[in-house]
Amino acid sequence: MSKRESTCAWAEEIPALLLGELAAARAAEVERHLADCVECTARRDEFNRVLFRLRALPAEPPSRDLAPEILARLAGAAEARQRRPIWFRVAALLLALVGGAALLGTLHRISSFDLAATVPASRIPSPVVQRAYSVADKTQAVGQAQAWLERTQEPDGHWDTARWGAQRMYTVGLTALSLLALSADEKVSTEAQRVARRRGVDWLIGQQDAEGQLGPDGSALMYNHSMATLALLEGVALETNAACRVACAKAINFIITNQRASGGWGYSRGPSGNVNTSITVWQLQALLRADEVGFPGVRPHITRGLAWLGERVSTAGRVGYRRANDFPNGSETLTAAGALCLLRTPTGARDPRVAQMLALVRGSATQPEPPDYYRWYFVSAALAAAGAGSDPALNQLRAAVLARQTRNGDEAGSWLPGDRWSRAGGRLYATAMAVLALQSG
Amino acid sequence: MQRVRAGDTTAFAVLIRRHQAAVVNFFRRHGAHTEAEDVAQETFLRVWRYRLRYQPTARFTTFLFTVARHAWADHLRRMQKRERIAERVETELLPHDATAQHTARRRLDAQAALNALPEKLRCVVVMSLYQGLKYEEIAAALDVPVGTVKSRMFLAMARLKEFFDVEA
Repeated sequence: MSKRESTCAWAEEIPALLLGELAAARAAEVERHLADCVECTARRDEFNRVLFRLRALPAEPPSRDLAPEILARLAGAAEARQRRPIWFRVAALLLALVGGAALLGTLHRISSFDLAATVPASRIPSPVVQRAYSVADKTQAVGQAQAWLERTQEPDGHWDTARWGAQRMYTVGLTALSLLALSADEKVSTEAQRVARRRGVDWLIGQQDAEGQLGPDGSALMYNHSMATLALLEGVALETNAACRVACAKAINFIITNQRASGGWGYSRGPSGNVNTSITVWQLQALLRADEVGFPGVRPHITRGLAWLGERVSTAGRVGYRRANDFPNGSETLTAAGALCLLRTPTGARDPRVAQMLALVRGSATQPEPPDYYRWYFVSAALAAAGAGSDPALNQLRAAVLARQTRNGDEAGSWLPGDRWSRAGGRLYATAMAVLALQSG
Repeated sequence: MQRVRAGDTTAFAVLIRRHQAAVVNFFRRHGAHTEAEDVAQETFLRVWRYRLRYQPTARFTTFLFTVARHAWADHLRRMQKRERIAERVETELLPHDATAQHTARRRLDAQAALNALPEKLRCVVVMSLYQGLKYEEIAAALDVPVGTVKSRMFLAMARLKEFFDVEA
């Protein structure tokens, strides 16, 4: 029964009565009315049942203490402010003075905040100082990043996500990305890096269950699993390690087992459920790498996965999230990730649709801001895979990546978090993805 | 909050720990699942950023949920996830055994009913029922008259009743 259908002027008082919002005198008045009004009495009983059902929803505690991550992000923001050039700080001060004066004129009470109008931090142009890209700068930066990763690895081989502003549920995935970053350039790999890699690979193998699953159940499962599979495959590719090869075989089988009938993959395990491009491209990358390093039986699954992916490409060459033209988080990253996978098909390099996608990816490289390590990685990897490793657009992107590296202090060599995914991955994600972006090609 | 206003991060950590469960649940009742903790983090970062604007005369939770509501609105605008939330609640939360599924299904019914409400109505229900804010405080947080809160609550109850009737 809606309010418009109600004939009683007292009706709005009923929820207020049930929620204890009425003063005693008013509550007594409403109670007296209820004794005489059949319609309102019926409504009170109905609303009571509604409230009973709503109150049955249990409070769910947070999965972790949020304070360390929030304080780490505050420290990261302070670090970014300190790195701003002096002209930027002067301009910001002037703006703050002008804005503050205007604000004082309008802020009279708490509800007058206009927080929605504030610009999200990720859209503020990066104040970092940028210079032209050079291979020497890149080599030095990657070396410093790998040294930071070595320093921050825990004795048992994993990386402590909470310590670096990331969510614990991504520990397996972030350990895997850190290992991939440590494996990024075997030619200049040190013995210490090899030892760190072995420790990390052993830790990942220890996380695997009997079915081959790497990491706990939950929404992070398929990201964790595919990234860990990629890291283990690098372990196989770089060193002879029988245990690692067995773990890889089980991990690959887990990916194959959980491929949906449609050919894609989704957040949850099992043969049915929703699928999306973001999860699918990571599983495809793992299977493609497995094929490269000689694991048999994966090609039919790659073919099905790529066919599913191909159906997500719009006529304009953009890759959608669940279907073509579905872009809840934009299309640039998925288009680059899609191109990276589709290029690996036998006809990928000649496919006009892939050429169309690569043109968009190149355009994305020329506009590195706002910072987005995830996009930077896929854009770099796709352009490099297309043979455009020396393209000026890619060098422009690499220069933007280099400019965000932390140069001083305890975190020297790592990358400053602050893009839209840093809330999940923190400094570990930022550093690993930056290295992988720089090392592509 | 006075120490937080003065820039004391230790006091801020205490404040986060005191209120983080309520803020995370505020977003969960709005339909968020995996992103609830992300938006909660964003809320506390904004509390820090706007700490000097907090008036000690107002109850802190009113200030906190004003900030939380804006953070949620921004999140929805940015991510355009409205459709995906219900789908992900289904795919990520449903356990496998039958008894647990029945319990989870009942929870999902209530959550689905909340999700089906328009944002303005849902916000009033969540703030009142789950955060314990009084009508006056909700009115201050939403910047609307108390009478509007009262009528929104009535409309919300009527729609929720219809939802449960149809589901039954």
